[in-house]
Amino acid sequence: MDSKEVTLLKKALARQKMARQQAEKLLEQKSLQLYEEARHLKESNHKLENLLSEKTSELDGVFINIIDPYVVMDLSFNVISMNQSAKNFLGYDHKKDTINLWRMVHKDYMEYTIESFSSLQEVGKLKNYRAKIIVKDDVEKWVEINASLIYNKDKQPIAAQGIVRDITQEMEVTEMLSEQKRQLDIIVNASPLGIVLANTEKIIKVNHAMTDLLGYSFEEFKMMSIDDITATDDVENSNILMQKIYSGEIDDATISKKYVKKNGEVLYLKVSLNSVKNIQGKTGFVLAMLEDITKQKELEIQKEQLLNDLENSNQSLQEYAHIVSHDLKSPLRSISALATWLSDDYKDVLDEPGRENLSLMQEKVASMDKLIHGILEYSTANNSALDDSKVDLNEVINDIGETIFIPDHVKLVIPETLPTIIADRTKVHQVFQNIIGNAVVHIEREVGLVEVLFNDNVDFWQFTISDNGVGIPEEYHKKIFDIFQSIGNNERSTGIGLSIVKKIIDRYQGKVWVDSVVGEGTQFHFTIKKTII
Amino acid sequence: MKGIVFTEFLEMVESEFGLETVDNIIEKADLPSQGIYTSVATYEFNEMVALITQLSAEVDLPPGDLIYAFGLYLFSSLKNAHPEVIQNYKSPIGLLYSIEDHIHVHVQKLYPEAELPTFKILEKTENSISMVYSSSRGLYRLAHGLIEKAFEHFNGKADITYELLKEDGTEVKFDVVQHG
Repeated sequence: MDSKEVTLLKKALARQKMARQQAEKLLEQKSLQLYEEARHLKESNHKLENLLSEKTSELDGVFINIIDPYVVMDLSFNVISMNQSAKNFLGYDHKKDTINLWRMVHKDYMEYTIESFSSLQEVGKLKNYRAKIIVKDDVEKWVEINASLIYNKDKQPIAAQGIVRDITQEMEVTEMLSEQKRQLDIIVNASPLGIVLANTEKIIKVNHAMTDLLGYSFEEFKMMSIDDITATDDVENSNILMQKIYSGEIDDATISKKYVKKNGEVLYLKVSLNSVKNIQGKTGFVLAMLEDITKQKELEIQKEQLLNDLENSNQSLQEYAHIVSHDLKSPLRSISALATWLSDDYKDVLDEPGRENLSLMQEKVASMDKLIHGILEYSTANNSALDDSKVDLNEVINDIGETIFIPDHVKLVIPETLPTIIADRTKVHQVFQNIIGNAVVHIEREVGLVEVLFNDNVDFWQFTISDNGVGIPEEYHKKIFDIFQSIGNNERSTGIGLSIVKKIIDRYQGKVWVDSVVGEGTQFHFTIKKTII
Repeated sequence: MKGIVFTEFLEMVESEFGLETVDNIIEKADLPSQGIYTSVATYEFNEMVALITQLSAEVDLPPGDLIYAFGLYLFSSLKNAHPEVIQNYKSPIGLLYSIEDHIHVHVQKLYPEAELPTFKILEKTENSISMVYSSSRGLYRLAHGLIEKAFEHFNGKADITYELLKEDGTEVKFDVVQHG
């Protein structure tokens, strides 16, 4: 090796050494850099670890503090984690017992649970799962669960978490309500009355009786309003009434209304309306109970017709009685006048039997006149209007005492001052006169006594006319109040007086009856309903 | 410029032209590094320019041809230094296709400060590829040598033509068609 070559090699070697040193220096720098970076990374790591543990304990806090039971389970329903509330609710602790939620599902809800679980796996979420479960000691509970899947970092589902709500009470209430509703429906549907619940626009609910009444189906009713089933000429009145109920002016009402059936027939229904108020106290619905009164209504109309007819026939009868009595009276008056003239002019010519016959004839004429007068009175007793006013009965009795014939041996007495009542003076006068008139002429004792007594019976006045006369045999006690019935052959009795009394007492909703013992005396009793002007 | 380019260049000069030529060009180039290079460091590109210029004068060959020859040489050196990179590919076109997205990414991991040329792929078929080399260094002949050697490595042959898109050689389009 020559010296030149050696020099070159030495130089090259020197460059290589230098290059090596350069490389070593670079290596050292890199090492330092790496160390610094490692240290920095360690610090970051530490910080991250702290953060992680903070977050974890935060989450733990949340987990414990969730008031509702919270459960995490694997995809085979085994509980992995649960909060205290879940332990209390289910009665198990996942740290002590192996809990499999599938085994707690009530058998009626297994199919539903399978469906729900596959839906959870499909969409990752499950909302409002509701089922019955059996917790510790075989206690049945209703639960509502909202759940979601938990995924690993590869987005594979590994578990499911859920919040459980105990809705046992809620469900019991719901069940109870539905049972009550069912019972109510039975009552409503079994009701013989038609029942309709409606608002201003349409019919909300009807019962079976209602579909039977009008012939529409439930579905048809729901498409209709009250107006649709009301007869056209009743719509306006019906609307006015409804308006009053909806405005709160009235709460209930009863009306009779015409309704149109599906087949066009018209029904008369009696409707009881009641407002159904909301919480604010406003009427939101109207409840109607309907009763078919078509038959009653028809009878009513028939009755009205009959009454009208009766009134008309009464009227004509009365007119007839009036005319007849007038027509009968005038020839009678002529007979009476002729008989008087005959008696006056020929009393000296006639022998005793002739005079007697003439006198008898006059008496018969007088009695016939009375009979006609009685018929006239009887026919008006029922019809002329009652002119009620205050009537002092003491005055009435005094008037009677003065106007009628009272034999000298008989006394008319008012032991206790009589009341002032409200009645038609003329009619009351007639009643007392007819009874007293009868009493005074049927006394055969030496001293006759007729007393007018009274009793205040709250709603009624009771009067008694008591005498010590001949008395009335019991078989006549009822008969005497019928027209043309009189006892014996008394000239003065027409047999009309007491029937007029009965008619008048009937008009005052009273009763008339008699107590009597033959040979001792008679008590006529009658009552008059008290009226107020 | 990465130190490995300098060390490999000097290796090539030494093996081709002898230790004396190496010493001569270092001395004449008057380099800031005094010709002391380690593959892990980075040096001024101007030093490479100076070394090539000196070598061209010393051996009386055009610098372009020398750079091309260096390209052929560098492929083998790189293959020896990082065999695992080449082993990832089954074909030279596959390798060329992945320069930008794979090989240079790995380079950048080891040498974050490295300034690398870009190879923009224009078109690729099973046996052809056309791409644009672009680098402020303008060492497209180096690339040419590397590409040629790559085919040789996979026992293939290719027609490699290039067209200067910029006169200074900072942007050059390569069209490579493999045959055999």
